[in-house]
Order: sequence, then structure tokens, then C-alpha cells
Amino acid sequence: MYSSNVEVTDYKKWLGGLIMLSFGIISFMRWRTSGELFFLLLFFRDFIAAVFLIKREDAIKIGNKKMATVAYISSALPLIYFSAPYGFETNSVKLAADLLAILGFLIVTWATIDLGTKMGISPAKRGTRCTKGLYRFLGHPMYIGYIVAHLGWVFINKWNILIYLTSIILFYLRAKFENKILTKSK
Amino acid sequence: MKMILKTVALCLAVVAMTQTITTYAQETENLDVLIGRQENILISLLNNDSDNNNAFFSPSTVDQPVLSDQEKKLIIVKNMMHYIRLIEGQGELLDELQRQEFPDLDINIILEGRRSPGI
Repeated sequence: MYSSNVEVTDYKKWLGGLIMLSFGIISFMRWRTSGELFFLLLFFRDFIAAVFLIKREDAIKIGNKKMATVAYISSALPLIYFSAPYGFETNSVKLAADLLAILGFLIVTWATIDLGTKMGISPAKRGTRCTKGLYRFLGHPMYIGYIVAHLGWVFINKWNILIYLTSIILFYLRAKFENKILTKSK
Repeated sequence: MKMILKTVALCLAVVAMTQTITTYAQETENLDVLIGRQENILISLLNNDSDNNNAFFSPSTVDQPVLSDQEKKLIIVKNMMHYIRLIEGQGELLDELQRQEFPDLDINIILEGRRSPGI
């Protein structure tokens, strides 16, 4: 079911790092133009994620293609959330969505820091399982953070509920795949 | 090192939340004044009050004392949209646009109906 030990060059970490860095630059530019400090938090998260990805540990065991596909679709899905119809959104809904996004991304950032160089998109075993920081209390705090952050989008546009529910299902599958890989000793 | 990074993230999140709440509070605080001002602009526009043209939503119209019908239509629509945003009636507007039925537009009929209710 799982592929064997990996001894090839991990070029994906450079690609992942560059993608995260480009997201970070976009967030930084959005902070400069809008002045909204939330984008600075996003930039901070993306920047440290890029560094951790580039410096990440070699995988002892990696998941199969199905696991990788689910992981990449799940990572890309938030990019297609709809904005408010015709740009309409009430102030109270925007406030709730913004606060949820900030809280969610704080959790995501902390989880990223806790995970450090064990980070990756596709399920893989890199050293021992992380059990420090948020990982002491939650199995998959990064996914919890994303679920909290994206909840606000459901109020912005009713069609986002479909993307949100799909996201939750994919996060659940990713968590399940990761648990399988991490608990498998050989 | 991880503790420092986490503290930076926490500080950024707290400041971002404070900024978001402060912006919302400021917008809410001035809402009544803004709505009143916008109502006056709309009344002036609909009454064809040329003396009040400078109060229009678009600053580009300040130097245009005489407006064409098309320009005036555009300014009325923009001001109405701005008013709808202020009173947070976006949802209702979208519902009405989708329905495209306006039997209850005539306020006289509504008032008449209230005076002599149904059965």
C-alpha cells in the first residue's frame, strides 16, 4: 500500500517552498495596499512555512498517489471560495468572517511552527510523530485551524457551504491517511 | 526560537483582531450620520435639485453643474447602491432582482390595504 523507503532527491520541497513564498509575497503586497494586518499574519505564516518546507527532513515513508492527490486537492480547494454576490457583504458578516479567519490562521501558524521541518503537503513520515505544542492536545491542529478560518466564507456566500463541506471531508481523509502512515512502524 | 515565532504570530493576530473590531466600531458609530446624509443626497437627486449637485457620490461631478440624463441616471444608481450598502439591504436587493416582480411598489396600495384589511 505504501511506497518503499525514499532515497531520491526531494525536489518537491523546493517547489513547495517557492509556492509558499509566492503566496507570502502576495499576502505582503495585499498588506501594503490595504493596510489590513491580517495579511501580515498570512505573510508571516507563509514565509515560515516556506523556510520549513525547504529545510524539511527526508521522508522515511511516503503515501501513495491517492493520498497525495487528496492532499493536493485539499490544499488547493480554498482558492476557489466565492466572494460575496456582486461584492455585497454586510459589515457584521464581514466582521465575523474576518475574526474567524484571524483566529483560524493563528492556529494554523502555531501548528506550522510546532511541526517545523516535519512539514509537507502529501502524507509522509518524517522522523518521530510531532507531539509538542498544539499537537499535544489535538491530532491535527493545522486542519482544525483551516476549518475555523474558512467557516466565515460560508456566511459570505451560501454556495461556499459546498466547498466548505468538501474541504472538511478531505481534511478528514488526510488526517486518516497521515495517522496510518505515522502509526505504521515499517 | 519556536516560542519567539509563536509570540510574534500571537501579537500579529491580536493586533489584526483589534484593527478589525476598531474599524467595524468606527463604521457602526457613524452609520446614522452617513445614512442621514445619503438620504438627503438621494432626495436632492430625485427632486432634480441642481443646487445640491456638489453633494453627489462621485467627486468627479463637482465641476459639472449641468448633467445629461445618462449621467444623472448613473449618479442616482450609484447613490442608491451606496445607500443600500449603508442600510445593509444587500440581501433584500438581490432577492428582489432575482424575483423581478414588484406588485407591492405602490405605497398607496399598501396603505390602502392596511386601512381595509382582507376578509
